[in-house]
Amino acid sequence: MKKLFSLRKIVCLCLALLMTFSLFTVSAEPTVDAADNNTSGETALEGYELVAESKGTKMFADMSTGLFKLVTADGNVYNSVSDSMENDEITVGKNRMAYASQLIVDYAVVDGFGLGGLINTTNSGIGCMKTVEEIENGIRVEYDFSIIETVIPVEYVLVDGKLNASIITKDIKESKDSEILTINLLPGFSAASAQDTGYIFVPDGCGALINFNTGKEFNEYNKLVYGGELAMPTEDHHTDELGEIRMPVFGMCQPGKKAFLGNIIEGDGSAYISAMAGNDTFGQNVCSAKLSMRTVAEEKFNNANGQLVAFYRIGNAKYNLDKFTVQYTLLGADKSDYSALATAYREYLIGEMGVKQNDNIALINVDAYGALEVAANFLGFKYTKLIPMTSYEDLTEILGSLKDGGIDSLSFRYIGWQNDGITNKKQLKKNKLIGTLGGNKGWKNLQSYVEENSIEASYDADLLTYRKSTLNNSVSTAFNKKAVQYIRQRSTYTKSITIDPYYLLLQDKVVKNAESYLGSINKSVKNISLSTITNTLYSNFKDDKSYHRSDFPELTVKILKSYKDAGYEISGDNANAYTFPYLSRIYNAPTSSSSNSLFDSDVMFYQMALKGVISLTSAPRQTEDRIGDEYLKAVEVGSALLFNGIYENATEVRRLREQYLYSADYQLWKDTAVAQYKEYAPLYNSVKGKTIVSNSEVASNVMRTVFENGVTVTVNYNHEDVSLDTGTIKARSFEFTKGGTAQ
Amino acid sequence: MSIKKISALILSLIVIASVLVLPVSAKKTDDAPYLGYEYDNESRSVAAPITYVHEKTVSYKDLGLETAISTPTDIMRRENVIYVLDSGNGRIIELNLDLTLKGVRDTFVDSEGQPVSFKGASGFTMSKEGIIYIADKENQRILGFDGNNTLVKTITKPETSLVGFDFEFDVDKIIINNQDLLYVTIASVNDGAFTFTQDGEFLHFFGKNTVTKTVDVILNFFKKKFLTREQLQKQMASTPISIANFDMDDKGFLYTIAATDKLQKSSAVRKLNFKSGNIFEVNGVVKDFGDLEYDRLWWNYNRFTNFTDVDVDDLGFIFLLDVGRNRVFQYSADGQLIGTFAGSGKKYGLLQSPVAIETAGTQVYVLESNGNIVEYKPTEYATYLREAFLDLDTSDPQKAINAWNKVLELNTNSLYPYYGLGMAYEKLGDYKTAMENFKLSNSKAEYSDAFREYRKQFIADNLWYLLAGVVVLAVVITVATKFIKKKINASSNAAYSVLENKYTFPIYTLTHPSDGFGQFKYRTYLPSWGISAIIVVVLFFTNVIQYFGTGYCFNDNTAADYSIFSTLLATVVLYVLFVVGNWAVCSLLDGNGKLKEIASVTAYSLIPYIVSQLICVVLSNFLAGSEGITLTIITAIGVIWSAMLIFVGLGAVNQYYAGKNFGTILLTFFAMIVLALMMFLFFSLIQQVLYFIRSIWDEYQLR
Repeated sequence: MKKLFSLRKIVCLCLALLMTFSLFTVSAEPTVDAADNNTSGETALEGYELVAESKGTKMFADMSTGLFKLVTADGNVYNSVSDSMENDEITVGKNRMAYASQLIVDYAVVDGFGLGGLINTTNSGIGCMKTVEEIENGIRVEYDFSIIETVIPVEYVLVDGKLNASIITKDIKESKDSEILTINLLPGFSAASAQDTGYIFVPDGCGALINFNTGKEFNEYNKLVYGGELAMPTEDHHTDELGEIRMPVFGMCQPGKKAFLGNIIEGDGSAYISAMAGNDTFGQNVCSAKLSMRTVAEEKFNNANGQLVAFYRIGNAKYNLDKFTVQYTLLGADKSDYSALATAYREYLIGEMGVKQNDNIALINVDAYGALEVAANFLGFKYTKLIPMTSYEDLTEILGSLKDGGIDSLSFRYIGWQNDGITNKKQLKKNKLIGTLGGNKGWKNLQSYVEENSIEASYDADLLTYRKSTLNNSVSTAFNKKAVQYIRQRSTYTKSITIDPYYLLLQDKVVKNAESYLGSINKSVKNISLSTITNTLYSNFKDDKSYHRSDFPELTVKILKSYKDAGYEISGDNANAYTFPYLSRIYNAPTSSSSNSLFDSDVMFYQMALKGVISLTSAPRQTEDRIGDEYLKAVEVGSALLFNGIYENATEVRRLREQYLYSADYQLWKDTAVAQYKEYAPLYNSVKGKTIVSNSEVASNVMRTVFENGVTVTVNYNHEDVSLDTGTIKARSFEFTKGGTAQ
Repeated sequence: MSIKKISALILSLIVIASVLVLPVSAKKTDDAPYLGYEYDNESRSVAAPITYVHEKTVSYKDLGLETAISTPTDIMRRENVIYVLDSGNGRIIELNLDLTLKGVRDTFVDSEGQPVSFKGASGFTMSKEGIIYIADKENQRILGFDGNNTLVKTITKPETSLVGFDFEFDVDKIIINNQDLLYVTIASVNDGAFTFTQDGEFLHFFGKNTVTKTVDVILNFFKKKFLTREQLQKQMASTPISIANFDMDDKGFLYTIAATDKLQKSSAVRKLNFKSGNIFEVNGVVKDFGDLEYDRLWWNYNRFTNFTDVDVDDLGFIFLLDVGRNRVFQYSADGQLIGTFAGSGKKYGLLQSPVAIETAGTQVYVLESNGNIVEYKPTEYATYLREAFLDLDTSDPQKAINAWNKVLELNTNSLYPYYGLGMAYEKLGDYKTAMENFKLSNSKAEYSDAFREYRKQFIADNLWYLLAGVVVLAVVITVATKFIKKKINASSNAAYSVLENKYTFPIYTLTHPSDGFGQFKYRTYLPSWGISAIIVVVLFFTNVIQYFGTGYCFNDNTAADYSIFSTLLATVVLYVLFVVGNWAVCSLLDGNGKLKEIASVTAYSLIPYIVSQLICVVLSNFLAGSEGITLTIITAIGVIWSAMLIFVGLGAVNQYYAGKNFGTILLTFFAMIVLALMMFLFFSLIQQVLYFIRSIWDEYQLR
């Protein structure tokens, strides 16, 4: 069998970088010295003509090269490419050209013979012709890459004082034998030089900052928005992948000077965020968005000689929207930190995406885990059965004992309360209660308890995944194999052979099931938690049913809208930005980044943008990577607290996929919950529904947040007491003031 | 002011300035880009809280050094100072525990003031008097420098015949013990450590693997043949292993590690006492260290664990640095895994090429080959778990219970808290709770001990009831026996006794095999397919009951691993093979036995075995582990009885004399093997065909 594969001629690629821009254009470019542009930005604009003006921001373009500059009312200049490359003695190699370009294109040459090598992109003759034309409020540039016979049109327009840069994907002309993989749009937009101070913001997990010129070794940040491509699962990981991007934004701040926020407003379902800080070989600090047109899949085989051979194939699904648009919001000296970026993004969410302000969740939230499927046997015949971890009535016990402890503000999300328990065995089509959890009778008791005590309840439904693979119902890889989602062995990060994998449902089935499930939901349910669909998207590379991830947000929105129209409140879990207008709560909001060594600090950007708009809870205490900081992190940004809760059979999860519930037995944490409630409730209640104005580090590992009503909280993450001008804060503790008086 | 003082002042100013300008890379919160896990008793990784998190990383720039640290090879701590051996520059860097620079020692001279270089040195240590001994590998010598960087000791290759051959004195790693003796490993002589006095006198080898005797090798061979899977996993130490690195604790135990093969179990960590006996080896079984799971990628089936350094902290916990996955493993003094942390990658807390490890208090420091020093601090979970482990042998069980409950609160997956609670409750005399906990922690031996005590207590508490029960049972048995005897004797004047009818015949043959099976020849209605089938079915279920019902002390089975096919194979298939095999052999060798007769004889003869097994299952629930001999005796009686019945019965139906009968039974076994082989070939042929079809399908799909 192995030999057969070695004889095959498989579709192969050669990857190459292509610059849009040849060297002479760089040198011809006028330089702008950012330091003295406050007096007059216009002096540095020789050769540029005014093409658009909006809310005081002017756009000047060089009609021969397509380069442009934006000049804001307060005199700040934003260049479309790096403007300091001429004086930059640090940057070496191809990066010199790359970041003085408006586009960087990665493409694959389809040759059908073995693996191709890299094409040397610095050859003269490569480059591109440009046609620049003026359009309403901006310019349209067509980039003609003669070497791959590809034309990419891009429009740059000013709208409401913001720059909208759009790749017109529907008008891209490609040749037969080369295919575009990614297009990095404005890679050097407003790049900061080695002399500048400031930081880059990337939305990794909760958000992270990369200081300019931090001297770290070459390490480019490049991450797919909303998580990696699940239809192309990779088997070999060596570390845990944390900190998926949940908001399609990025930005750069030069405090006291200027800042910008980039926001992918069209095509965020298939985009990368990319960033690089200056180091010994790179004298620039850049961040940008990158359109992902196609995805390359890799498959490994042992050939007849026992050598490992990798085959590549381009997935047959490609970017499917008409445009890819990044909106740049330009911020002045008084709004030049990450708090201002969060505020700008929040304004976009409320003003343009129509997110309604609705932040009223209870402080203590329990994630109750219902039925667990375990292996059993009868006279040696194996079968699986559901056992209760938290039955309907057990849940009232848990809630009751928390109430007895003095917790008045309480809500829960119930996971594994229906059908196959915590994870779906079969695809979820109809809602059925579980007999072993108490059936109809137990359910009624739970409902009357919930009503009597006016406890907020949310019931979880997973519309995407299931364990029992049936023919033709799951998505496939580019090699036409089922895209199996393996559970990883914790020691090696490779697939577990003892825990069943799961599968992702075909997109059209998702729509169908969502519809039939909606019609079957138990009458008592008012708030439905659609956890997976609010944080997962994927393509399908099956030949006859190919589907690209760029379409998935629209599918999700359609489903969420139908649920909302049917009168349900919807809860999300670690949710992606496109779901925000439909959610009333977000459980498990990200509180950490991926710890990439490129980062200098984590910021709670997700919460800073959403606090006061959508109800948020922290990540549950003691799970996976989080080590007891969850409480302090919640306090820092005014999030509600979340606890994983199970009532019995806690030791049953040890060998199962649910083994992450190792600290969920409610008896073991209820005292902690009560203590935290008593300490945190006064602060929490005073910032409920209030947005965050600013967040900053006032001393090493001491964070301060100011809410819109003036409430200020200072959190000391250190293991030692810290003295500040406002007094001493105890180790791993916090203090807050309401309008000037300490509490 | 002397030039030296001025330069020191300038240096310190530079240091202060650089600290102000370049803050150390630190992250605000305790997140870790790796997962926590422990191993359960089946060597499977199980989720656990993370034990250590990244505190900070410092590079030479952060320290304010002008010259980059080059190929650092070793790190050590004495009191509150950390020393880094900057081998490429031939200098020693001194750090405070918060990883700020204390000083740089870069000018070393001999007694005459001539400079001495040790570039390329691979290890160092420091005596109580503050003399630093450096294993100068390049120059094949050990150099001892005093606090003023002046050479005071030089040790070169010993003039001794002990080693027995010519070797390079390429000294690799060096430590000093509490009796001021130097232990040195030599890269080219890898079967032990050289011991020297500080004056350079060679004493002896230490930690050399004792050469395994031939007898032991043979013994091991048989052990491997007959041991269960679990026992075999605890691999025997039959090959000598080298010392790659070592450390010594306060009590004088030497901890050594050896480089391992990529697929080999990492049983290469040893804790040696002064006689070089391995504490981690009990009855020839060595403890496993490192990752017990393999990569499951078929192209990369690998174990990866490859220890390069070991450090024992002040409390006796063992830290092992694994360069296979760039991970740190922490073990208790008894070799129980506390947890692992770090991994490969470019993230905070991950390592790229670690070289050496050192501890100070609760903190752990890892030296990387690029000169970075990474500091880790324990999480709440690790702190509690370490405390609880230290309380394991405490005389205050209540204290231990509190400690283990704290661990349990953070991790209900771990087996340790249940074990610890079991031990504590046993000390308190609460055997029932102890048993429950030992069961949860899967500790059979400890469970068995607690069970014995519990049984003792139970019997003492319920003595009178038990005695009454015994009396009642005795009366019932006596009466019943009398009744049955009476019934049998009532019809004793008939040609055949009551038992000699078709349905009770299996009982009759138990004690009258020759006569009973002989009757098959003329009372042809006696052998029965139906009764035989029932007995074989009972045998099958006996096997199932045995699998699930055997008492906890004697039951190594896990319900999840049960396979109905192996039970079928061990009962029905084996039975059919034997019957068919014997029938085939006997047909060729003038046997008179018919298939039905042979089948009946074999089935009826199995009754003693079945009964003995059922008795064992029941008894095993009341016996403690050490009383297992009783079960063995009962099983032996059942097996011998059944074997005797089969032998006599087959002789009777085939009408063979004893010798020929014996011969045909031996041939039967041979025939069974042939039959099994044929079946195997048949199935594998089918498999081949399926595989072929599958591969065509796969190729079709990929084209």
